[in-house]
Amino acid sequence: MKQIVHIIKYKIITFLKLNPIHNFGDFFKSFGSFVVYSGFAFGTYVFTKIIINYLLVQAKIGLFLLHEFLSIVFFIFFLSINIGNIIVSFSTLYKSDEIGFLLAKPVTPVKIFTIKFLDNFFYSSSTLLLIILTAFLGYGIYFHINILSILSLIVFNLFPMMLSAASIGVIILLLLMKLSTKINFKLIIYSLIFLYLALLISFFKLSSPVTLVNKVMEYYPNIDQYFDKLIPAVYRLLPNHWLSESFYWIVLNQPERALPYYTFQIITMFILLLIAITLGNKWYYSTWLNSVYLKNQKNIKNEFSSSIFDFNRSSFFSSQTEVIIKKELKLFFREPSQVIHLSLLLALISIFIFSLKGLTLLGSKIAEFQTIIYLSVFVFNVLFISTLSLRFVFPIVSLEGESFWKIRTSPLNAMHTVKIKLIIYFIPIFIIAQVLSYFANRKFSDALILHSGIITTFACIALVLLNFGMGAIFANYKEKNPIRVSSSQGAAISFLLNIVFMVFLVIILAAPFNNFFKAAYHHLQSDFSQIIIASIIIGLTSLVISLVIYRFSTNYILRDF
Amino acid sequence: MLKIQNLTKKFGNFTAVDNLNLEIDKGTLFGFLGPNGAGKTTTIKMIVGLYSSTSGSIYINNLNSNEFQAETKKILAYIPDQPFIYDKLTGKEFLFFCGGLYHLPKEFIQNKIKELIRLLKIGDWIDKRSEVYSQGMRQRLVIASAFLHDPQLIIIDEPMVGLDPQTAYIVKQVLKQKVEEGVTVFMSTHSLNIVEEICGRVGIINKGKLIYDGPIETLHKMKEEKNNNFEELFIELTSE
Repeated sequence: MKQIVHIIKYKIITFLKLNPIHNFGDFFKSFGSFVVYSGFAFGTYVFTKIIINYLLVQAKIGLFLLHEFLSIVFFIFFLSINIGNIIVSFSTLYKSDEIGFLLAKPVTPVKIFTIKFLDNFFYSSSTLLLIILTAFLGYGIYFHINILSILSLIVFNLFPMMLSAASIGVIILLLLMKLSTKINFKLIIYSLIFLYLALLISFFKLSSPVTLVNKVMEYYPNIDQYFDKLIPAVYRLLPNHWLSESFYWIVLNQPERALPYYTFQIITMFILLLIAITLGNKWYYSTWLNSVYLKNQKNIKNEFSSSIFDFNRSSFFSSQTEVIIKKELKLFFREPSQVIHLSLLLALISIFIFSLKGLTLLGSKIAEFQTIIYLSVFVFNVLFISTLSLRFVFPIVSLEGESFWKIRTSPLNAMHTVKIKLIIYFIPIFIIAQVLSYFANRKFSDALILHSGIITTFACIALVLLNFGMGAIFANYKEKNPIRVSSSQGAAISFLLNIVFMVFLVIILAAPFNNFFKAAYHHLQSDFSQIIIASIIIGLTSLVISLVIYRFSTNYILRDF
Repeated sequence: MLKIQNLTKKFGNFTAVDNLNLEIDKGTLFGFLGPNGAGKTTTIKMIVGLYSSTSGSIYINNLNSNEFQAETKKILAYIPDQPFIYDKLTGKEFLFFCGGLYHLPKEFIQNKIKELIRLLKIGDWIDKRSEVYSQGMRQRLVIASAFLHDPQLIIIDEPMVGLDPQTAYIVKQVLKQKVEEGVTVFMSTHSLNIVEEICGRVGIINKGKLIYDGPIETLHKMKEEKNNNFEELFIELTSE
């Protein structure tokens, strides 16, 4: 234990010294980070209070439904931590150079496993934790819950749930690595992705928010009762449900009814942690050795060997552009974490597109409801663009890595390289964004489809360049792991700025769309001019953001290497 | 071939290179010596364009390297002390990638790769991803990538790090041969033996200032005064 604490202590010291302040630029970066974090924390706090007030006072959905919605949010949170930990742990437990260093010291593999597990957990969950903690605060203050109850929810319910999610993640990873000695690794990964998607679909089929709302609304206006029978049996076994139930009973000032859920949460966490560490003790070292063996046995002929991307094949691009494109694509498709994450995100996007079938017409008779649905779908689209940009564009400068010296000393302008890389990532994100935009709007008029396409284009340019610029400003050439780059402090700040941009979009579009749907509902002449003005504001703002951040990032890319 | 004029590099209050002046003719093998932290790597990084200078100028083939970046980089090759290469590319892919950066024709690259594999004894490793390479093999690949476009000026930072004696011997022979062909080599090293063995001219830098610049013969004469001990002479020159 002493050794684990010793290593963690030095990891913390290293982390704290990651962004030293040497000059005004460093100070500006750190101060900017502080402002963004603080602003975002405050924004989340205020937003939580506003949304709860809206749902309870204006939409009148009742406490039960509110907490069922919370349960869905917690499920997504649980799954994000779980999947995030599988992917990050794969890189840090099996690919990091630090493992070789520690294994050469008198540190047992299970200690390394434990240290890395905790490191991953806190590193990859920190931004999500910031969001959820401030949301908890907003929630607690809205319902006048005393601070001790909020703290107890965080320490004895939220943390155990998060640790359970992370433990399941690392257990799955150990199983995968163990299985990979017998079965093809790619087959296991794709099976796992399929399993998770099936799980996600089953969850939403089971919890079906629309059915639940309809069933609860049958009791209107007596919707503030506890609809025990509407909760599916399997649902009661899930940690996200235990957390939302605890909230529910604490709001109703009946903490004794929340106590069983606290107990389930803590016991489950301990059991899962124990299983994870036991398996780590048993399998970690042997699976690590196997991963080293597999790495050295790789048969390059089977990997992305399409002749179009062969370096000795000519193309219509200039030779400099050609080699940059080929290098970038080869590096991307040979990095398992990139391919796995991309497959997962594409699968989620496909599910989203599929689920859009019935959504857009849900509230077509009520203008406000229609506006909420329209903007929610729009925000989801933008969120996908943001996620893709943050995950794949933010790391592009860092991932040039220490090998960047070759380009920097060649007769090729480094910015030209970066521009090519940017285009490589922008094009697919742009296409995905347009596809999402089309499917989200296809049941509306052609004018709305066109408008959405234009707004999406601007949002796409702004978000891709914002994440690219932030990635250049916070570039870390020493980090080879794209996941760690895209979950670093700089990425967290970038993500918060993405959310600020999304809030800006919603604020600008809300009133014009509400008026538009109102007019449509009353069969009046639709006033599109407000929407056009809003779009011009969005377009100009997006272009300004893009140009400023691009200009700013150039200085960082061309600085001393 | 290489002219350095009043070159200075400051990091905050610390002056890493202080008003450096040097002129190296075509076909010279220049050994750049100095203790750790003397400013060797900083000077090299300014020559190859990885660092900007605080003041002063660098001319390569009479072209200001700041104003004519692409032109000067075309005739220059850099071999860093740490051979970082793209892990997921094979050796051959990396060399094709480097060739493309210099607009070299595919066929030329193909032939050159064959020649360099033989010369640097890279063998079958060329088709393996560089993530499985040893430090020495990486270094060989980086050296191969530097020779690919037939540069007129080669800048080397600690060339023998990680090389086995056989490869170190090959590299020394190749460098000598290149110099005979008229190529200029600017080589930073800690190894006094290598300087003695292959360099025609030597510069010694200490605390950012050039404290010695002259032909190796002059250094040999100075060495004779120190009981033929180059190490002692070097320590005396670079001591406080």
